[in-house]
This record gives sequence, C-alpha cells and structure tokens, in this order.
Amino acid sequence: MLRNRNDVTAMRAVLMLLRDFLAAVAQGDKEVFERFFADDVIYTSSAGVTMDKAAVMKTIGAHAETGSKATYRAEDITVHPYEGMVVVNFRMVMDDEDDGRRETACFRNTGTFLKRSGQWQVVAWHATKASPEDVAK
Amino acid sequence: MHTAKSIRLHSVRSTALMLVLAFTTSCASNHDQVTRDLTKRLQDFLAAVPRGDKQVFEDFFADDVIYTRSAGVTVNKAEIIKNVGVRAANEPATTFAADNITVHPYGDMAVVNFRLVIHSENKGQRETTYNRNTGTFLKRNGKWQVVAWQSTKAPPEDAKAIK
Repeated sequence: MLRNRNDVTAMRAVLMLLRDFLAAVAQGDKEVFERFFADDVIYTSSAGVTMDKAAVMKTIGAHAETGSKATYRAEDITVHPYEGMVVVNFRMVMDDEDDGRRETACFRNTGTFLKRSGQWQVVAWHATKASPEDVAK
Repeated sequence: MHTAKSIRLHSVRSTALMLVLAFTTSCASNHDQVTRDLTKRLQDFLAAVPRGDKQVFEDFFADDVIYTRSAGVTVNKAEIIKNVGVRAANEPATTFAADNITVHPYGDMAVVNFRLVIHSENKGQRETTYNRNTGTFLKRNGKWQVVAWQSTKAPPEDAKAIK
C-alpha cells in the first residue's frame, strides 16, 4: 500500500517509541511509562483486567520489586497510520529467567496511539497471551 | 464608574466567556452523542452475531481491521468473514452481550472497552464466561467502523468500567 510522507513519518515515530519503551520496561522507569501512556489510556492486561493510568503506574513499582530480569521485544509488527492516529499490532516476546532456566512467553498486543500537542501517546493498549507459534498475518 | 472603554472590555470578555461555554457544551454534547452511537452500534452488532450474517460483520469491521482473538491470534478481515459461518454452525446457542462499557471519543476516532458476556451451552448446561475487549473505531464517510479489535479472556469478578 502506498503511504504519504506524513504516514511514513508517523509510522517511524511510533515504531521508535515502541522500541524505546520495550527496552525501558525492564528497568521499571516510571518516567518512561508516564510519557508513553496518555492520562486517559484504557489498558487491558493479558489477565483480562482493564486499568486506568494510575493503576498501570502502580504495577510498575510492583514489577520492579520482584527483581525480575525479564526483557521484552516486539516482532511481527503491523502499523496502520490514520490522520493523527496510529494502530500498532505486534507480538511481544518476553524472555525471563527462573532458577537459572531461560523462559520465553509471547503476547499479542494492540496499541492505539494519538498525536496530541505534537506528542504520540497510547490511548488504548490491549494484551493477550499467545502461543509461540503465532505468526502475524 | 464605568467608562465606555471598560464597558466595551467587559462586553468582549462576556462574549468570549459565552463562546467558551458554548464550545464546552457543544464538545460535551458531541462526546455524549458519540458514546450513545457507539454503544448502540456495539450492542446491535453483538445481538446480531449469533445469526452468522456475514453482511453484519462486513459492515462492522473496516477492510483494514487488525483483529486479535482471545486465543492470541491476529487475523485480517477476510479471515474474520471466513469464520462467521463456522462459529454460527458450531455454537448455535451462544449469545453475546456487553457490559461495563467505556467510550473515549477523539473526534472521528474513538476507543471502546467493554466486558463481553458470553452465554453458551455445554453438555446441556448453560454457562457464562467473560472476555475483555477493546475496539478502536474510525468514522469514515459518516460511518463508524472498527479498525482494531482485541479480546482477552477475563475473570468473572472483573466487572468495573473505567472512565
């Protein structure tokens, strides 16, 4: 599909945000989450629980306290740009370590990004547990 | 004592305040209208799902929709349509409803989150299960359609909508 220059710019900006966000998640940096998620975000975890931003921010502290060494990356990324809005779907791969054993879990995520005051932020985020064989269509 | 200049200034301020109030009221009213429209669109769609009418799905989902099932598999519109008949044949007694609906309108785009209530029959027993769903709607040519949809199995006690 042909994209105009604005679409390409939006796609690049959002992909960079996503990559930087996933790289920072492991550190549990609250500032990164504050910037990434809009104040009015609707966030649904892979456990099927929907949260607002305050609840998302609370989970970061809890995650950091577990001393988790998990790292996150995105694969099979699909980006659909619309005017002032971008939908991103990807497979999130979580690599973790449990008693010295490497473990990998996969999730399908959809994020809806909105550009407000020149800044892209997530207004909807939804995660679902996926099997490792899941390949994006 | 009011001079002509201070009266003019007061008049300009009053007009500006009225315009701001009118704009705020108009935004709130538009917000409520979108919430009503999308809630109805969602409820009509869910009520129609058991009929397995492909036209209903054609109308509800945009051609470029990204749809992620609760099994964690992402599909496109062609695959959604292909599965419509299969679902209707395999689960004829299953019905769907939405509760705890949250709508966040953003102009010609809106995010809708809700709990999907699934009433089904298993070995002659009625059972109810729940999913959490998020839909991103876009208004194109005057019609709201879904451009992103994702579903996740949810615990029964998750019954709160967020604002």
